[in-house]
Amino acid sequence: MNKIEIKNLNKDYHNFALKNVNFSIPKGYVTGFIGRNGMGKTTTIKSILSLIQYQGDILSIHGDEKANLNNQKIGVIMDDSFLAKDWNMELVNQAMKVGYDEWEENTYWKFLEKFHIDKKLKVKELSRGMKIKLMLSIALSHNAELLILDEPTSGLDPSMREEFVEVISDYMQDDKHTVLFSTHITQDLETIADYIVFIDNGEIVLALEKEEFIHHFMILKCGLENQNTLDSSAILGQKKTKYNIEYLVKRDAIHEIPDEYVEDEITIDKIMILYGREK
Amino acid sequence: MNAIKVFKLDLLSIKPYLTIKNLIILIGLGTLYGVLSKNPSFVLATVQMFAILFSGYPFMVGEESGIDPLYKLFSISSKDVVKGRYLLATVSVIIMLVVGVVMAMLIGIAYPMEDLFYSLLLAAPCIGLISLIIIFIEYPIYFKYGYKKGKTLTAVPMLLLAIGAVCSTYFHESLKSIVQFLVMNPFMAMAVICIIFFIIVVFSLKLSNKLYARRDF
Amino acid sequence: MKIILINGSSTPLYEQIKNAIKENIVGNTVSSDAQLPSVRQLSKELGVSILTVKKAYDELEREGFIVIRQGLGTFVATMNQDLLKDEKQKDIESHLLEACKIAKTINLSKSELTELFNYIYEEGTEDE
Repeated sequence: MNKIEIKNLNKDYHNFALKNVNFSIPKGYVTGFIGRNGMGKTTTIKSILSLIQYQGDILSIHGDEKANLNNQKIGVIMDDSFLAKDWNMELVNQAMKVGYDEWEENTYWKFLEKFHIDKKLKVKELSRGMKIKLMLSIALSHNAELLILDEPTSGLDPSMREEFVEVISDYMQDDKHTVLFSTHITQDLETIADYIVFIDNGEIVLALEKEEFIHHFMILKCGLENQNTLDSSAILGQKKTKYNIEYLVKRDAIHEIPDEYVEDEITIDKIMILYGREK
Repeated sequence: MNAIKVFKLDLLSIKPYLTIKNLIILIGLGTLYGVLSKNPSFVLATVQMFAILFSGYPFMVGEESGIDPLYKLFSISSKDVVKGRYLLATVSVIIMLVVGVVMAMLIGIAYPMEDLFYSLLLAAPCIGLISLIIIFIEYPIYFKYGYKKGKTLTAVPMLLLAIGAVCSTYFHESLKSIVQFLVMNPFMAMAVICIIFFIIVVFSLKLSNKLYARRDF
Repeated sequence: MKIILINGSSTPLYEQIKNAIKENIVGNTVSSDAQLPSVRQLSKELGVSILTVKKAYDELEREGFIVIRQGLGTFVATMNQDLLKDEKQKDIESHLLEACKIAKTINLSKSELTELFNYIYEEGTEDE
């Protein structure tokens, strides 16, 4: 399968490190990238974009051919700004014209019109929602084959988020397009993600097709009097309240649900909330 | 070529700072000093101060607005960013020299100065070279530390230079003889200055390349 | 074609899509050999991931309801009568099962049920 392969990615900061991160981004599909803040999503993304130095290999694989990634073919939305604050939309256009070999000016203006962004506005005058839309417009105007989106929808209202996801869906009509979508808003992933990669503490916990990923886990609940009856090696996280305990467990590790336990619906949100909690 | 891209992009990024207001201040101050000192070199020097000031702007905008990461997104290598910025600095010094000369000539019409044209001809390359040397000393510091930190750190070499200049007055005698020798042999003087300049440029470029390549954004 | 998905249902989304398309085919809302939307088009319209639709389509192809022709598109398979008959028969079976279950709860005997069945078959079909 054609994919972007991240192999043995390591990066050391004094208070944090990426340790042997290994996963693939299948081409032609949307890969959701989840993990709590500070767990390594942005560091991984910066490595893919060569914004930081790292150890390891990041390659684009097409059939038998392996090649380095070409940033000219990658559209980016990140929290960090990469546009001069005093640029208006026309100066942005000129800058992109210089920088991107395949810059499509008409597409850019069409997107700005679609998103109702006034030409005369300066980057510093844009609200967060408009900044995201601007970055999206840029990302979709230079023939990018890969979109890397680092938490693009946080801070957007639900209708903006739906608009955003629709635009990504349009982008994915072409099977030569690929998206890496890192987000906390798991609802967007429920709609559009084909694969999920879960990172925690600088390490990849699990990377699977979305349904398989969710199915890998299970939520079991029981009363306080029954706690400690589960095999502790199967427990991935738990939450105790006055009236019950909620466990996140590996589905394979539970052969039979004990009578005192009830199974609850498993969602990506629950996995993120419970994983590694209170152990 | 990618260095040209950097040249154009840096220009676009500092465009908002090249305002009419700045231009007026530049002309105003230059004229003032020129008239007060009756020395055209002062006009040139004042204008060059602006050039040196502007040479730091790409770093300032780069840091504040993430232009440096933007270059990485365009697949522009660190080497090309360094090349592009040095090119921009050189071009701006030359342009400012021309501006300064023109200004001095214009002022000279209203307030005649001694040997205007000849002294300008002599002063221009000297002042230009000195500006470039200052910039080339500052640049590796900016490339490594960025603008905010770099601004304070660049005071160090400037201070050292100033101390050096003061100290050199103690060697007044030997300096005098060196200067005499240089005046006697203008071609050799030129050659020596060129070699020193060349060494500074090469050293500065290599250092900038090394320091910038290691940076994380 | 009509496809309505229910979130939070115990039936996985891909299965709901598969069943909905089957119903459309069996109910003749889409005719034999008609072209179906591509996996990507359908995923966008329904607001589900591409793999979800792909899974539904793969199973539909496996069960003989659709044909995926490389480079040309996805089409409703030429419906052979046996396949349609099979599907309808499955429907009948599940309805009959329901009827039997209900009959047992009120202790209706098999012969009484059969009598009822015959009556409805005659009367019911006459009205149509």
